[in-house]
Amino acid sequence: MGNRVAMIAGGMTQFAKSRRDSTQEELVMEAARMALFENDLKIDPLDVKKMIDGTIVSYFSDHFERQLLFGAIIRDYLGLNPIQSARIEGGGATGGLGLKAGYEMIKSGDASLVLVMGFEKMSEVSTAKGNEFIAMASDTDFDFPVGGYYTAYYAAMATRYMYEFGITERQMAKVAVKNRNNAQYNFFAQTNAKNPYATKSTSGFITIYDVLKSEKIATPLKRLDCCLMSDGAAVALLADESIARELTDKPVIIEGVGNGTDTMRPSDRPTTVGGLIKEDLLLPHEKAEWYEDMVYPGLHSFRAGRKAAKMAYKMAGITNPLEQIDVVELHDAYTSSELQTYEDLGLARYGEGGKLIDSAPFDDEKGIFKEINPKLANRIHVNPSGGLIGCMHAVGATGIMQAVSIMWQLQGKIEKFYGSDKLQVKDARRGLAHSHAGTGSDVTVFVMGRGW
Amino acid sequence: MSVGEKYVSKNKQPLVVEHPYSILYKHSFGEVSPFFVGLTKKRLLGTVCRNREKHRNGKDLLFLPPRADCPECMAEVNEWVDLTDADIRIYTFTTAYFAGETFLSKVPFTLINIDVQGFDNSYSKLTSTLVIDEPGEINIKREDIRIGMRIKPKFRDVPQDKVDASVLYFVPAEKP
Repeated sequence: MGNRVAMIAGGMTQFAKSRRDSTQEELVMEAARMALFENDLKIDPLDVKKMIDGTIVSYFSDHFERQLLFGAIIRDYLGLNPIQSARIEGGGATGGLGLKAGYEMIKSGDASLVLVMGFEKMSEVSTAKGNEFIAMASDTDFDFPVGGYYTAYYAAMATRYMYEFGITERQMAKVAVKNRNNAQYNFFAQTNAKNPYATKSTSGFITIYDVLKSEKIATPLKRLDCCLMSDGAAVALLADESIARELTDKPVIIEGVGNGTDTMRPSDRPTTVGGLIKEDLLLPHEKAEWYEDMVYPGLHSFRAGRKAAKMAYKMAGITNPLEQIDVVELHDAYTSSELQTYEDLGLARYGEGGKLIDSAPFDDEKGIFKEINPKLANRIHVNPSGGLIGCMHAVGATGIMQAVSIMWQLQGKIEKFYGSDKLQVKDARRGLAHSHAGTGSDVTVFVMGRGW
Repeated sequence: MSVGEKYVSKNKQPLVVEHPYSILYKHSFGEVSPFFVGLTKKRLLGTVCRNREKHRNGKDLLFLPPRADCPECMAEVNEWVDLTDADIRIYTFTTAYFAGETFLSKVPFTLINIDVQGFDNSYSKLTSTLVIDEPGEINIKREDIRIGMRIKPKFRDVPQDKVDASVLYFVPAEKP
């Protein structure tokens, strides 16, 4: 199998609705400088830079950037020529797929130290135009022309999810409360009131009442059920294990990598009775009898997420994710999709994502969790960074922000980078980063563990 | 001071200018063009692959949106079926109060995925819109829209060179 691959350093920018102070390449430089200079590497950062022998540039939309071949500009601006590089794009999972490409570059033996750089600048067009650009990542012959856009696709899926399993809007709203309030302790987060780029009206703590009464976007989803649109960049440095150990005392080993796919159009998702079992998507801790009569995936579950999880768990030797994983950063594009993803990742049985969020102690009167970064099932922390709802969704950077956050969690460096230890998961030994595109068209899962 | 704070940009006066950008595409609907021609003739057409023994679920597959090729058995799909008068239900729905730029003036509107009875619905849950206040048709309130409700297709009048999927829409076919 050859050497393992580790993540050894990371950086990210302040995320904001608009970062007009900097160009895209300047944002990537900001994150890369942080990655090389602030991650306690054991040799001079510029000597580390000289060892980089591969790069990946991940960004989602040529429309947002209005610049094709942007990777060339990024590599040039950061002084990373003439080494090998590729641009990776895969919708919302662009960052996760970028990391996977960097991992593969090392695993194949073509490189030993790879800088993966993701960015997006979504503020150069209006929010409505931005929604349209994102909607163009749905089928433009059949779904987009009838008024389709992403919140609506997820909302229709949420309607069916509620119908199938009895999930409530209140359970969904709790996800927003958790993630948004976590973000108040992450200085990088777009909704953190202390972020110098934060918009006052869309930052600060929220309650479940704020979520439930927020403006309707597409029923049942309301404004505060939805992820952010952001400007920003995130960078991760991946290394062959032997190089990793020369450069850091705390290499985070990528123990498992998984990737799954599904149809572009929600209309074309299979509705097979017992489909989960027929497609061999049962996880080791699950019983076939739970799902024999369940239609799968239908419009209520993300088959790609399950496929990615199964693949990553197998590689990492995970037989019961809820017992073996301490902290998760997952793609909460919408509150509903966080609950759905609990099930795809096997953290809850299908249909019981709502019960998992309900397992954390909640103050019904105040409408907030009793603790910041609450434990679910008295065991696991999900989206301490604030996720896409509280921290950011600068598409090409998102999957990288999540994985770097998991690395800092395992290294115990959350306070150093986020500016508060409130979100540090004590003694976290193994984490999971989940990156997701479209209505579940492409999903990646990384299982990461301490290498020391 | 956290690392994040140390890296805050000092630039307070970026120069911002405007860049307009407009493109005309000549787009072909290829082998599923009959679907779009059908819309201009007020017919709802899908395609069917009957190689059921080669399909994962052992059933004939209805494609709506239509496909000219079967993703499961890779056969060319030549059979068109007229679903204009079929029993069609709502599989799921959402009412949009916000939208992309082009549709912002049309909110609120209801998007649906349809469920054509009599066929396996794995590949036929077409996304469309439900109009609840069409003159001469059954009118309902938005809060009365339900999964499983019977609906029927309607068609806007457009010339063939301007057709797109929005020519098709649905109205309720039963009272709540």
